Amino acid sequence: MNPPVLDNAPANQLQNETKLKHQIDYGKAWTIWPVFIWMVLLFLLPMILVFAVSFFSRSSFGGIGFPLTLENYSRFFDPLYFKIIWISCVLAFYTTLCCLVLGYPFAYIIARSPTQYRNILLLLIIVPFWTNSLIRTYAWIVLLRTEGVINTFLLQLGLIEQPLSLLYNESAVLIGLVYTMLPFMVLPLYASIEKLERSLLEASKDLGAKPWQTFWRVTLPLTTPGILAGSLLVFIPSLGLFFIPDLMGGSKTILIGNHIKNQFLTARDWPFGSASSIILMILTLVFIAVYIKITKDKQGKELV
Amino acid sequence: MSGLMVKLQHLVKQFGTQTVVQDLSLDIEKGEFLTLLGPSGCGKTTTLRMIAGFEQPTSGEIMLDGQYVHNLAAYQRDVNTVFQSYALFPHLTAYDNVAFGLRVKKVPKQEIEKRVKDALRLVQLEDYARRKPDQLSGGQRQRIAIARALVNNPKVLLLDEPLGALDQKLRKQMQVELKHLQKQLGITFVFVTHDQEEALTMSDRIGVMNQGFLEQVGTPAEIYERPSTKFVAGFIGETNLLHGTVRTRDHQHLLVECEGVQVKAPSANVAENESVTIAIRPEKSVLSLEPSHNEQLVQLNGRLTERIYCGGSTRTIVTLHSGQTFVALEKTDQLLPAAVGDELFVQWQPNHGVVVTR
Repeated sequence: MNPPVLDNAPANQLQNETKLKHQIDYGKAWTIWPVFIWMVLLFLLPMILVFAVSFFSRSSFGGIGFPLTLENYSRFFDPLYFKIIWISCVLAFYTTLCCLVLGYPFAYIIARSPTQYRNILLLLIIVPFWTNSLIRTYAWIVLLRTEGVINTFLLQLGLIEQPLSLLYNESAVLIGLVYTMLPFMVLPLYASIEKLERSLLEASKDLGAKPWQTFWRVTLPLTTPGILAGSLLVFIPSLGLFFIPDLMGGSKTILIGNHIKNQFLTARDWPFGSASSIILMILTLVFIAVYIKITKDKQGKELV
Repeated sequence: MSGLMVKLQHLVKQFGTQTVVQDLSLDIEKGEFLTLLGPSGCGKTTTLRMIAGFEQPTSGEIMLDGQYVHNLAAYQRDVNTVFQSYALFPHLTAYDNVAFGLRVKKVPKQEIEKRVKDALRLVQLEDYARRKPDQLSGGQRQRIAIARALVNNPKVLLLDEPLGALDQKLRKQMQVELKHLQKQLGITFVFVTHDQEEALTMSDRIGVMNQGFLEQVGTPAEIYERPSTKFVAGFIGETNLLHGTVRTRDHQHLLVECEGVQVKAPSANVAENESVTIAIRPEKSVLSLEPSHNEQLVQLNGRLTERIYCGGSTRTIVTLHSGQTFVALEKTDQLLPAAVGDELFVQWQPNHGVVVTR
């Protein structure tokens, strides 16, 4: 309650702040520059390159040549490619949906388990990442193919007489995608379920809500940020993953990612591949914009 | 007060190897304001949570309005809770928070609207219906939490330290408001607090808990004037405790020897040579520079060691010749003309002392 002390306090604070500012400037530089250089070299330059190439023409031996043209883009506006985009979106949507339905209980159980088990369970989700995803996809092929583990097992049990065709169709691609993308759904879901206060669930119970009512009215709305983030993290990579449709879908399923890969490696039409990449990226940005809009709206509503 | 609302029978709650509530039996009347009072970790909140249905008793029974409910889930019990942290749903407006209980019970729309409005009016927050919890002040959140519980017309309202997060002034105001609300609605309140002053001002009856045991149940006056254990005497208000041994007893008085001094105390159900503790409230004792010749007074001799100014009253600390400190309360405008180090006498009526054995 001494006036001099009160007067001193802000002055001290100001001094400290200016001191801190000086220190932070160095820190900022040291942390930002490596990231900046990394992003320019490995992200921005390739992006500019792809963008530039998309306006060139394919030369006779699969190289890049003049004239500059917009034809690569106009070629894309063909029902064939629209269908590819549509199928890609539908498959990515189903992948997201399956990941959500499978991942939610997963994340819930982990987030609600005793603290000492949580890290172990989370680790178990992440452990498969330590193996190359290509190898894990081959493992699925071993399981699903006609003479694969599942068919052999079912045949020997006598449950089926003909081997099931589990591989090289759209559901095989879906299985592969869901398997690969599941952790990306579980982790953000876990983060938002873990943050959910237990007292809110108790309050809901206390007010007479049956378990499913509590889930529907409290748990689900309060974990939407996790659901949205997880969906975005699953949906967007699912659009672009090409090796899973390649390996598990046979030649039947062409998705946008495969299409791009084919243009670069098989057809050797880099300009068209680049233009397709740019279009996929624009599509991705649209989805991200929608995501930001939705989450902003939610925050906005809370403020009104 | 007509009949029993809550009956707790031999409740025991163990977490692992730790027993948090030990053989607790308690009857709560209809329309009563009962407070469970005790230090943190005494089991009061666990007891409340068992009534609410958030914890299953390890053994024992809970009866609510004549029906056993200890096997029912929380959402099936006709009680509502006001949580310590309020636990308002952050994604819902004040109105939707209050309406929550009625909506999950599928009450017709018009009725919900009417009852929610009434409940908001009851806590004087009609104008804040559209606000989200993070746009409300602590006191307003508190009221919404109360409205959200009361709108369901519970048989019992359970309050878990609901005023703990409020500042002193607001807390006093909410104490009065809660008490009025309870009188006005006639709902049974079970209130948990560690604040003895809160318990004394609000309750019809107080149950004092310590280390899982219910030490004493009684009206605030009984608890304050006639504590039955050392713990209760020490926990509720300030008390001087004198330990001694019973020397003689008759039907009116005990003579207790405390550190070589004979102290007269009111008769109690104790045997000769039993060790007892005499509790004397600071405000029941009088300080004097001269020894009294009144044989009826208890009189101890000591030295003034400290005076602590507390506004209208002053706490005067006297070190007795036995070395024990004794706190007396003086009116600040009628202080004894004595300075630190002066000899003086502490005096009180024998029947103002309370004899406790445990």
